[in-house]
Amino acid sequence: MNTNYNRILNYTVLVLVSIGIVFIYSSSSVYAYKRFDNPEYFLFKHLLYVGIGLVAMVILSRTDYSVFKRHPYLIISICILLVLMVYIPKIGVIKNGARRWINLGFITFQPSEILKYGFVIYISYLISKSQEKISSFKGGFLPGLFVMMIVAVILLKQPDFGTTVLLLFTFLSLYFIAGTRLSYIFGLVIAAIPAVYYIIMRSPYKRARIMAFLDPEVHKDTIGYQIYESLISLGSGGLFGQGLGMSKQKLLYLPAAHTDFILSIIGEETGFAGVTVLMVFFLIFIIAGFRIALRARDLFGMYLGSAITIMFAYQVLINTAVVMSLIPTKGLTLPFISYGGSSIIFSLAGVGILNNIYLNSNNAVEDADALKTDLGVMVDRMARKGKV
Amino acid sequence: MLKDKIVTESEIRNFYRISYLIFAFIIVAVFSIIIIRLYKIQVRMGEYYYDRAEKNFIQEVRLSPLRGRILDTKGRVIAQNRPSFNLFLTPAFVKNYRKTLESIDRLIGIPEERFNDIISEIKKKRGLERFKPIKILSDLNFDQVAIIESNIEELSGTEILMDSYRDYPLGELASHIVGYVGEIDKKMLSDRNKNQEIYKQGDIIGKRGIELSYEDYLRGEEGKEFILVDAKGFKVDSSEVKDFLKEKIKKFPPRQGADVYLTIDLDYQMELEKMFNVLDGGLIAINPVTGKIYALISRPSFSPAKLSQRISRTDWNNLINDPLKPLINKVTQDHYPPGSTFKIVPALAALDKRLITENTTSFCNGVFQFGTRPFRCWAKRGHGNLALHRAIVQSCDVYFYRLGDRLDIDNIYNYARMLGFGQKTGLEIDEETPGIIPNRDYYKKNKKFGSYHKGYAINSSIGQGDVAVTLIQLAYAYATLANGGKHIKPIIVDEIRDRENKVILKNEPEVINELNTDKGIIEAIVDGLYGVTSEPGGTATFQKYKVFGNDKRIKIAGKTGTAQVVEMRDGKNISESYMHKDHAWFVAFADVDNPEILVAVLHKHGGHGASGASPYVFNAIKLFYEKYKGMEFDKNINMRNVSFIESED
Repeated sequence: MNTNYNRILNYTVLVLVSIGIVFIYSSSSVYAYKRFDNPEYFLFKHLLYVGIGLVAMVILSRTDYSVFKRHPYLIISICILLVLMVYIPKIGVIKNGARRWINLGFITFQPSEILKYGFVIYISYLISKSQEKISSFKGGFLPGLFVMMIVAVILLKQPDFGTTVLLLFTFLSLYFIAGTRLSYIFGLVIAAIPAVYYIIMRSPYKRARIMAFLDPEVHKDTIGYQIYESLISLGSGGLFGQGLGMSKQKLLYLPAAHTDFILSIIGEETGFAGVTVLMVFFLIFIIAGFRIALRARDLFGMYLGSAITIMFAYQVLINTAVVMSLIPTKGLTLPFISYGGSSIIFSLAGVGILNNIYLNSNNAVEDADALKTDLGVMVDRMARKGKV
Repeated sequence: MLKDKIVTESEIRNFYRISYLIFAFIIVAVFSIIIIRLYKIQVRMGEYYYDRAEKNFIQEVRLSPLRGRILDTKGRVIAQNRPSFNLFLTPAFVKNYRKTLESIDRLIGIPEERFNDIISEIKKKRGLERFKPIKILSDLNFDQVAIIESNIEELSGTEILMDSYRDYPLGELASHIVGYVGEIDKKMLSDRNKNQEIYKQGDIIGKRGIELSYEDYLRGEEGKEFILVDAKGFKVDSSEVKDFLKEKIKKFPPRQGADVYLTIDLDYQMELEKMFNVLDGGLIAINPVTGKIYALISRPSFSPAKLSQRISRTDWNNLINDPLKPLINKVTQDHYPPGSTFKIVPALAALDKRLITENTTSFCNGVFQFGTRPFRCWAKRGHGNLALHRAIVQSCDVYFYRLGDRLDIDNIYNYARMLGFGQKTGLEIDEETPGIIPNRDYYKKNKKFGSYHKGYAINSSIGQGDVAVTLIQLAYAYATLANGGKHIKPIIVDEIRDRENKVILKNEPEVINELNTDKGIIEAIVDGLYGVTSEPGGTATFQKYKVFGNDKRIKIAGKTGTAQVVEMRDGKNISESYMHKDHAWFVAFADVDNPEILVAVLHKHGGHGASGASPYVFNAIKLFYEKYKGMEFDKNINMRNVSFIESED
């Protein structure tokens, strides 16, 4: 059985983006009407971003990814510079108390979205280059850790806690897959705990988010408002939802209903069934992404493909967990679904890179093995044995 | 070489597949946790959250009922509602609220005090609260509304909303009867909502007078409406969503408040207010048989309309600190020694106890010696030999000192109580003062007066010392005599009608108690009171003549009284300054044979009862007969050859 994972990946992305378009329209029309007198305001803007994203995806599909391998230092440097540009007056834009955007005159975007890719490109390069020394601290773990630290400091300064956590998890996961010593990973996690505690306690708004998370209902009128309304949205959806377009919470109750909290509206309108289906699509995407990564032409491709997939997986998990009040608010979008130019364009660009990794892989060599090591099959077996 | 490298990579991949599997397993596990959590939120707690959501978007809007009106006995309006225009500002919609407020100030003016209050109020608003409109100015006139409307572009974020305001078209007329309304305060809120939550913060409630006493009738019943709103509280008109919620969106209209019809006759009240032009004091005119109040005046008056709105702190402080205490009802809330008007009590007690008869005489030489202490008659030379009738007519103090000496203070107390002194009359407006009628217990409890001795009884018998009564008590005590012994309850509300004009409450005359005494005794006292205004030497005869001349058609029974403000020395006040002048009382009813009107006046610092109070009473009685009995009186009263002596008492 020769499964074309790339096709599965692309179809899944198509489905996800379509779901996103439908729910952005559903969740933003009231807000858009109130604010811009035009219910389609966000819909049209999002369609434009999707268009740009698809163009980026096609271009990157046709661009040999080894171009990234050749210039890793240049790429990471440019990315860091772009992120630092948020501190340049008139170019850096402050929204909701965070310096995360830069305005280049013709476009405003979040440079941290580019930094994500620059970072995983660099780490993938680093690991694939030093694969033999991966178990050593100095030669294997430390160079990656060094860049990780720089990136973390820059991002936390903005502040962008969500992206920092996302990149840290991706970083650790890549090193785990590459086979570094577990002691490094756990050591870093343990070392990070006091730092995280310090960062949270120093910032009133982060502390507030934690409080809100611990008891949304008590703080429902103030700091817990968003998360409480999110639970109400989700919960009132029930098993099959209230029907498409029937969400009441989008009547401005739920702030950021079309961005970070779009899943709440999806849950309200399509219920448990709808959200579960959506999660299955994401799972399919992740499995397909891993399959592509495993068949990559070289180690760099394998790590890069894995990194991109892992990043998507974490972002989905973090966003979903936030919406369900499993973890405190992070400010991360739901990939392919949420409204937001930077988010959708760079997500589609990431898919483009995965496409190219697939196109450059040697299918004939790997397909024989594929059946046995098919992740899906493995997961199925595990499930049958009652391990999941 | 190249091939080797690929093989190496391939080997590495195979080696690390296990890492991938572990990793994939973790991801699947986390997804599973999320699905389980999702199941809990959406399926198991779905209804809980659905309820919460419904509370979010279905908002209950309270529909305030229109407050009932207050009318006089003939249905003329004393208090009603009128539309008012109020200027609101919604902080969330205003870019620079200071600038907007300055513009408003420039256009129609904002009092400085209010300006700062508004700014601090806006500053306090956070989050969604900023979407709630704040009232900037109340009750704009049409010109102000026009100015705001024509400059509305400059004032975006502000709007003019209509509200219902309490209106008192007669100004300060009858202010102490109707009272006023105002925003409910914290204490009232918790008191009123003890059993059921009826009031909400910001509600208008009666604060005084009829507005307060009949709040339950006047208020009406609040209605409610369920509307679909968005998070900012704006009404949503989405037919699609409305259909979905058809069952939930309902309207219950409010029930308007009932109209309260008073026993007051506005014409009479109005004319009396014009006539009763004293600085400080009270007047009450009643029907002595039914107990219905025709008119009630307390001076100085206040403006119910002003007090019903947001009154400035300075105005409020001025009102509270006014030495003439405009907010106190001088008819019911202020008590003073009744002076000689109290003499009916020892007279009644002595006759009823058979200590004296109508014919028992006593000699007055101007002083009654009690031990070492002389109790003086107001007439320094004394009244000579007199019986009860002339003692009342001339208001002889010595005669009553003797009665006090023979009566025990507890007897005076008991008979005073029978006539309604020392207790609230039961008038339904505001908190009455019960007054003080001392007895032995009183002096036992109030050690500061020293222990009881007979001097107290002697003083009490002429209404001095610790005795204190309110004007309304005095009026109803005399009504008891006019009634032949029936002590009746004051009635100020005639009936209450709902908006369909159906009578839902009707006050009928109510006898509180009846004197268990010979009719002859009461007749004897009333005869004495008639003498006060009609016989030579009667303390009010001259004053009655000044009003009625020689017209004998109406027989008036009355009594003068003077309440000492400062201790007299040798029958004279130490000080002649206004605040030290005595309080003048006069109470009278007519006609003696067919009592129809009783008027009582307290003229604070008015001097003697005859000169300071009785003219108002006589004029009020005259007005009554002119108005209701169609009688005409001679306007030119011949004051020459008048041989009456002006009485001091």
